[in-house]
Amino acid sequence: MATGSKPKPPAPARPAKPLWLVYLVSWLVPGGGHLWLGRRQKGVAFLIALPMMFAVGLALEGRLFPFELSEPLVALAAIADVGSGLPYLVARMFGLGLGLAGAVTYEYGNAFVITAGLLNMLVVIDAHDIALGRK
Amino acid sequence: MAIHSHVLLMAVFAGLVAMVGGVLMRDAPREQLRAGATIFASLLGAAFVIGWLLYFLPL
Repeated sequence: MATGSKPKPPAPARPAKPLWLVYLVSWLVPGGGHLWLGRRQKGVAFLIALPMMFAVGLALEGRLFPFELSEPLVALAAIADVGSGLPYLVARMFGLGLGLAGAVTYEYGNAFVITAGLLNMLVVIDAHDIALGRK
Repeated sequence: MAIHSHVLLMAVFAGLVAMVGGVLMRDAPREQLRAGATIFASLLGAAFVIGWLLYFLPL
């Protein structure tokens, strides 16, 4: 008797490492996810550039914005800041990033800090793709 | 920080963004270098062009 059943498509390969852990490592340590997944060259580049960008931003009197939902742009900047991971947490712990609005470099500092966080979010997405074998 | 040169800060910013962007977008080192250089030049070039356009605007 002919069954006529189609062959089952192969099950998608499960990532070798738990995705949530890849996200966590990748977010906490910029480039850490890539290093863990064996992309050493990329990981080292991110590990140097992103914390440096964050540190330069703080040195330029940039501010770590608070989560003020009454001011949407401030709240968005706060989310971007958190994207930096461990550097953000350390800076918060030591009371850095108060921001000196009168400083000439204040806005530059904000641009550095916010961009560092946003770029690290892109790095997390890239680590996700690598973990799934898409890259 | 003692750096008050806006052009220098802009170049540092563009350099770091280009480094991350280039490495993120490409896999081969040579291609990463090319992509990074393109991003760097684009950011600086756009800033200079927009800067000159603003210079001619009456304020």
